[in-house]
Amino acid sequence: MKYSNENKSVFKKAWGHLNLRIGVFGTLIFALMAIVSIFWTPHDIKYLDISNRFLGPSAQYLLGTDFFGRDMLSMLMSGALTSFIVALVAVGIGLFFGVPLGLLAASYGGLFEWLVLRTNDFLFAFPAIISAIIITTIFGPSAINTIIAIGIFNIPVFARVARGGALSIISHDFVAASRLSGRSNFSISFVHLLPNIASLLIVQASVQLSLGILAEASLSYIGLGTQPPATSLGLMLKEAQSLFLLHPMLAILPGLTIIFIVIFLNLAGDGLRDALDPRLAKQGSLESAG
Amino acid sequence: MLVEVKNLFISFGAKPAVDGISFSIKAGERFGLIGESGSGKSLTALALCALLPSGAKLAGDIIFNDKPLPASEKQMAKLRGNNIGIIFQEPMSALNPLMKIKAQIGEAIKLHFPKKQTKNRVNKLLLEVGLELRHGNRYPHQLSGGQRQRVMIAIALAAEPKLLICDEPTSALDLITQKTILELLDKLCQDRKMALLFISHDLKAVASLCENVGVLKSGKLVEVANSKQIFENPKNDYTKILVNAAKVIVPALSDLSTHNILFEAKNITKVFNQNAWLSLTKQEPIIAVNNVSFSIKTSQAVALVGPSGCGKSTLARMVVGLMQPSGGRFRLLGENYGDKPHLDRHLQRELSLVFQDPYNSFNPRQKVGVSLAEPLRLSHSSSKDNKLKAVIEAIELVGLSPDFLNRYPHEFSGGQRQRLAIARAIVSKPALIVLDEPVSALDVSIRGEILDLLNHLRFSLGISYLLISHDLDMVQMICDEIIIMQSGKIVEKANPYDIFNNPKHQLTKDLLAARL
Amino acid sequence: MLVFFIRRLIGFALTLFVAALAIFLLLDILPGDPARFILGINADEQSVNVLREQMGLNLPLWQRFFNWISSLLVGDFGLSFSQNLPVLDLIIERVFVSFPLAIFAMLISVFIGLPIGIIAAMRHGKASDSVLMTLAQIGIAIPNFWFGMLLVLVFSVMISWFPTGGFIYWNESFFGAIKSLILPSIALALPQAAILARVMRTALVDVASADYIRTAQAKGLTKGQAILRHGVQNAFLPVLTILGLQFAFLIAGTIIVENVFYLPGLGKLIFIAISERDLVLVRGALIILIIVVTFTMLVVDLLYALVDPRLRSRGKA
Repeated sequence: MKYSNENKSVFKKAWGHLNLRIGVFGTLIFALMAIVSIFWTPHDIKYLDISNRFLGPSAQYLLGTDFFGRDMLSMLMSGALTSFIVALVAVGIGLFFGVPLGLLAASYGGLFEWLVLRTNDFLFAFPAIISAIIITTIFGPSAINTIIAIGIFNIPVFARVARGGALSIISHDFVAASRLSGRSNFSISFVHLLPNIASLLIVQASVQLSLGILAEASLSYIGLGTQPPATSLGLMLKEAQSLFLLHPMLAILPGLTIIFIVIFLNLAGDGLRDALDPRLAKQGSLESAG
Repeated sequence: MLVEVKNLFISFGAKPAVDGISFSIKAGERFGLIGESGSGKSLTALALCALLPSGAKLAGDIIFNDKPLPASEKQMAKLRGNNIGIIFQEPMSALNPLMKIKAQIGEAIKLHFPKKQTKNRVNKLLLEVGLELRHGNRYPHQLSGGQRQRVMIAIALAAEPKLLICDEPTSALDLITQKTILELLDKLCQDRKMALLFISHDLKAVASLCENVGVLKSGKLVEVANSKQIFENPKNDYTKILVNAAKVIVPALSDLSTHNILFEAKNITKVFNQNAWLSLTKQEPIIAVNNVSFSIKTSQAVALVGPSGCGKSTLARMVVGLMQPSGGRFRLLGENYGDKPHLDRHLQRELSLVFQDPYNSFNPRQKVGVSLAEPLRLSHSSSKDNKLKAVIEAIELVGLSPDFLNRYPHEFSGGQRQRLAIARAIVSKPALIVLDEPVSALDVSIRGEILDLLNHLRFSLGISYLLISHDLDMVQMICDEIIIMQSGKIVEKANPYDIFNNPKHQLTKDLLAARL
Repeated sequence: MLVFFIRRLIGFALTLFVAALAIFLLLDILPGDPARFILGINADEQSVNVLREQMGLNLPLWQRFFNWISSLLVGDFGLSFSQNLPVLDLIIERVFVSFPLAIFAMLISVFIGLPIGIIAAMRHGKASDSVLMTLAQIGIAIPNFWFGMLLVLVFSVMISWFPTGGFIYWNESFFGAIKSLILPSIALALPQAAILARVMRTALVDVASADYIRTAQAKGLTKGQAILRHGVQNAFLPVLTILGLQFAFLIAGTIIVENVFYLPGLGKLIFIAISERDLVLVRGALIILIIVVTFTMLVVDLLYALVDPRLRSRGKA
């Protein structure tokens, strides 16, 4: 059938896109290493071996050891896992609450839309770090806090993207035609609007994922996030803070890991943006987390 | 010769968009280039002023004033500014939204004349294109489409060019404005002895303005001749189709005296309250539709005609139930509606709508079969088999194959999509279909077949039409009655014969005069 | 224009009110009794009760909120019980570290980001464009505090141009204060400059294909002239939005970067307050942060209206 061919060529174009290929491939490698750490790491990171601390790279410890004698590679793998999970769940929160809000705001309009927009403005006044401070004051620091704080930050982002996308679709005549066929605003939102803004949401999700990884790092670094004995890339940097002048590798390795993951995610996002919808290529990634 | 185009090729990638065309324009001559969307006519114009989008490959010669176009961007910019004026299609986006009109015209003047003359020249140009001096102090968004196009003309004339290129200058404007802009162009070319390259899809607009016409089809120039000859004695088959499509064939009025009244609108009013929630200032509400009454008989076709903003589209949306009137009642098949925000299902089933733009009337992510079946949601009693049967019947009625049901909208041409839209409108077997400019987004050569299809369906299925349009010629080809609207009110109501031969209201007379 | 201004002002006040309410309610559900916390575990029931009465903790919820808000309005942020000093004094002292840091970072990010974005857009599709945008791509991915650590490593440890941390107060030495803020503001500015460069470039590239650029070319301008005269002003509109958001994030970001350079800023104060469970202080600091962030958004909205005549004449959002 003609359509499947056309579909394939879009796909081909997507894969032909070098950025996308590098981005997806790189992200997958890091994600795979993170997932593997659930079952296996080169060394057990719960086992502290003070006699072997601050070792340089060797055959036994590929990237050396930290101040407790833990294997750096194992720490990075397991730290990346926490970072990925925090960012993913936070994106999930943003999608779950933000997308329906944005869609329904676009299709119902009126007072509901006004409320969503104002709530959005309001939440924008709370950079992730401010919500994290509030939550930590109430519940004490933990990885869950970072998830909630970043998730709260993601909600208005997705709501805005969903509403913007939906508004550009809703003026199309097929939506009016559907209304004439007796569909409610609610049903139109999910049958007609959602499938048409899916690519927009995927692209935004990849952007928010990379911002989430950065935000997790910041929050854990200032002690509002992941707490020992768990580990995350940000926490590793916090722990290296007092030592990095003497042992810079302790800070450089987790930092580079964050940078690579974020670059790969951004490349994948940019590539997807170009491949899925040339119109989207216009909008740069506008959000930034602090 | 002022302009000579020799063997011009323009391509994006492998496929040529302009495929070896040659023509020439003498000083002071008016040359029209006509073609449908994708024929390469706009690209030809852009090539003449070296403004092709990046990525376009160009071959062949363009000779201006006996010299080939300069290769350097700086010299080309100078040539463009001094000798060629250009007017584009979209007056909405062609002006810088952040700059006052007089500054935008002034900028073009400053590039060619001493600075001291700028103010005088801006004022002179404003008056020459039929604007007032105060318009110079406005921003683009404060002007109407026609006024903006006049500003564009003033900018194009600023350097007193030898050649004026107009790329579809009126297709974004309503008919009456179109006529005045064409008259203005005519006068300016005469006064200034300017050559004109006029590009359009509208044969009548070209013929009214140009001495010679070239017909473009898929990048090839299929016929070049003088306007009179093209109209009276077209040689090429494609030209013949275009010429025929431009002719108006008026069918005999059908006798509907024995038919019952199907639909009535009684004192319909729609008021838009502009005040936003929690707004501080009170704004005057807009009365879009003001106390309108009319009726439609079974299998009668009634047209609502008027300039943009006259309330005809609002009225149409209220008739099908997409909007609730602020006052008045509709009556269909003996039942009243319009007093509730939503229509009852059994009434909704009797009403459907065909949209103007076939390109966005289908969900691109849904197979057309799914879209076509959507109105059948309203008849919940029927089984899946029955629904499929109804959809197949509908698609065959509009002359397409049931195989198409499994395809996605982007696989169809504009004409096919409009047939599909009609199929969706008849699938629930409604009593009344509202047609909102059903052919104006289509290429001229296929408008005729869609109108034929509509005529055929009306009599074979006994459906009534309410047709919304600004195009009197098109309307008289399928309607039994014409209602003329202005500022939300009905100003005249008569059969096509009387409208054309004995117009009463001034607006009707203006609309008739605006036809080309 | 006036209507627009008033609407925005009301929106600003409303956002602040709701934010204050949210912070108040959230911090009010905290377990533990502040009065008991101050007096220590061994204090007897009666003196705790007396203190509760003094602090107004026995009043109903809405009345406490009302008292808090009305004292905020006259500039009374209450007394920090961990430091035993007026909250406002504590905050103001810190603000003179944090805000200059955010402002320096903003300036650096604008002066680096915008020109890079414009240059990349003018060379759209050429090699220099790709190089600049690759650099921007990397810049966005670098965590600002990590970059700060690197800066310390290079500029303080390897070549000791700057102190490794700490702050010399303005009244001690003006240039000392500026010097101690240079590395932190560079660290803070880098990722924002990269984002700004990307946004500026995309906006300009986008605007370059607008119809009015073609009109300007038709007047006799070259493409480059047309973009500089008509493109940049139009491309500045989306950039303005980003600038507003960025300032908000820079203010928040100071909390993180302060940590690297041991600066006695707002962030430090907030952490002390959290660990001491000093609610009055946390509340005051958060309100200040939110006032600044919301005020920035307000300024951006008003600038928007100033630049864009379409917004002005419509008079509403």
